[in-house]
Amino acid sequence: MKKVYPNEDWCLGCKLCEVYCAAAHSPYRDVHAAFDTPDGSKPQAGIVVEGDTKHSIAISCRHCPDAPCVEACISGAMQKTSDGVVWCDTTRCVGCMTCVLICPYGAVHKGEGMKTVTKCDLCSCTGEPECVRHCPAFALEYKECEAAQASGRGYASERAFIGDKDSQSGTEQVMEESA
Amino acid sequence: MSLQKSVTKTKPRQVKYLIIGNSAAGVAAVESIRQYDKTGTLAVVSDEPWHTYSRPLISYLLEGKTTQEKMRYRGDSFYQTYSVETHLGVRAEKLDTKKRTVALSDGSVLEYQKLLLATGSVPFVPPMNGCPAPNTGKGVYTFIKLADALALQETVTASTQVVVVGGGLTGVKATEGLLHLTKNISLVELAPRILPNALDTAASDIVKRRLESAAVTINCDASVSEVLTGADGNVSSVRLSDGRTIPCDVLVISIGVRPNVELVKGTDVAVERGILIDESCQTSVPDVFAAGDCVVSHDLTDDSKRILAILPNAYQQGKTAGAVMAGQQKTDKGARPINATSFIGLPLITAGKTNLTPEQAAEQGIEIVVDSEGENYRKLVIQNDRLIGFILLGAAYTKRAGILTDLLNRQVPLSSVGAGVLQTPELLLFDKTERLQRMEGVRSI
Ligand SMILES: Cc1cc2nc3c(=O)[nH]c(=O)nc-3n(C[C@H](O)[C@H](O)[C@H](O)COP(=O)(O)OP(=O)(O)OC[C@H]3O[C@@H](n4cnc5c(N)ncnc54)[C@H](O)[C@@H]3O)c2cc1C
Ligand code: SF4
Ligand code: SF4
Repeated sequence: MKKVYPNEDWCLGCKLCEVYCAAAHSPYRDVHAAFDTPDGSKPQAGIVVEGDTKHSIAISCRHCPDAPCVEACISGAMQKTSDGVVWCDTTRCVGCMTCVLICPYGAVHKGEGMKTVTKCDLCSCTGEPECVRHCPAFALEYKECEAAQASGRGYASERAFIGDKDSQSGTEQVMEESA
Repeated sequence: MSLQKSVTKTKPRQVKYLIIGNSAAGVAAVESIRQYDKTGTLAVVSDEPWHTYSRPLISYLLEGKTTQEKMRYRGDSFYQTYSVETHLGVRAEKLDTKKRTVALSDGSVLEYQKLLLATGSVPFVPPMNGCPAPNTGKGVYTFIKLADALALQETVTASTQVVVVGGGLTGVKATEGLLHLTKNISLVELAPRILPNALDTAASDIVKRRLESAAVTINCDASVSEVLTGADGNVSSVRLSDGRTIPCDVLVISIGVRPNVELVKGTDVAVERGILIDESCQTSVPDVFAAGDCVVSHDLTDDSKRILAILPNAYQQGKTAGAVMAGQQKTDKGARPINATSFIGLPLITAGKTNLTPEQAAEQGIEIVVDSEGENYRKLVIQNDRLIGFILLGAAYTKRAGILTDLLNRQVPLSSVGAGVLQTPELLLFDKTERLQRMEGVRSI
């Protein structure tokens, strides 16, 4: 399957991938609106840059075969589609962080003030992921890799697409209600 | 008499795979079996009437953070997709390992080729003077099933006085859920602190303060010596070991769980507290497998046999059992106690060995590194250059915790990873060749 591959030798550490990813997964879906919210809350990205501008790498989910996060998820919100994409149904996630505890890549994040977790879902397969499209250094590639064979179980989990308003499920971030 | 007759008349229905239990371990086995065998007949029996649901979410249901619909563990079409014959709301009553049959409470009998016992846990209810039997409408409840949560939801109102017995994980989660319904809650814990197994004193105190600020009254070093009832037979108050009395309309007993081994009693399936299994999750009887809360697991932390009643372990064992039942070679080497949860918004992640006195640590050459900042608390337990356990409390320390779990699971020499990886878990601190290899997406554990 196609995944996002980071090239740490080219990465500038500018974090534009984070910005576009977070915006795409926020309820606003727009960079300006997502970061300029009335309550000052910031959306969480599924791809996160490690390091500083000297040496950095943008880490996102590897969509593991036998994904540990899917198997450990206590609610069943974390799931894998038949084409191998691991995604979190945020309408069912309770934010317990069992997936954060189990992901060996540190690729699941719970943003500040978020009720649910955020991770790379390859932008629900809507063409090229936002992070890849907006990386100014071409340090992210969306490509096939033989070493990583997709291992869907041959059964599709119900799949929600960003923006699919009719769906019972969704990948959109859910904020804590401010008390 | 007439029932007897109908039972003897029933011809056993033959199924290739029979799974008793419709929860994490059972579901994992279904998914695993169907990866290798798409057509063999597969039946699931559960005495709970519902579609698959997530047991840990029953407290979130009380809290209003999920709904009965959303707490389904698998999608609506799960049974159709995986071709599962369901017997829900039906108890498996008698196992005959010689005849390979299981008799169900509806009078039918199933004959299996491969059997999985995924019967989970039952709540531990200690004898308490004067205590009415739980779940009989007298104000005493256990907290382990969806039905328990639904009953509490129906009974508890803003004026209800609740006493929760047991300050372990489920007791505290029950308390958190019930806080949504009433502010009058007293927690009673036998140990000197709440969450005594998962947390040390410092971390436990932080959680305690959180609960107290939400108006929960916490009584540690205490137990219920007597339960008093009113004229109607309902609970009216509890007397504690120190002589105090607490008024109480609803008593929730959440002290702990025991493996549910009811079905194998009187059979030749070997049991020692829990069902004994080998690395392929097979019991002492060929073709009879067991997985999840009902078994004795291998705890890799100290190479011991222990009940590890956590969902990820149930899933892994169910997955192994399913594969082996479907004719594959697969082993489950064991697991480590791991847990993630939150208490009124404060995240907590624990793994491996976390509770040692300074004397024990010194004796075993164990180094303990503690950091704290406000409500954030981190404890790292290190032995022979390896991470063997940790407590991470608060948002500042729980980020990318999986990298620490990975260091723990693979017992990676810490000197081979960049300094500070325990404080700032990042892949960037690993050797570049290893990082590139791993980013290919091949599973490393
Ligand atoms: C309140 C609460 C919170 C929890 N929180 C967490 C958490 O945060 N993280 C975590 O990892 N774990 C948590 N757990 C533990 C987790 O729920 C269990 O480890 C997990 O559910 C075990 O799965 P299982 O399939 O082995 O058994 P169970 O979930 O116990 O399911 C067994 C099923 O088999 C049925 N059954 C038993 N005997 C028979 C029979 N004879 N006939 C028919 N059916 C039968 C039972 O009714 C039950 O439905 C929590 C548990 C509780 C109660
Ligand atoms: S979130 Fe982590 S564990 Fe889950 S599939 Fe992605 S890389 Fe693997
Ligand atoms: S945080 Fe959400 S996705 Fe992760 S394990 Fe918990 S319920 Fe599942």
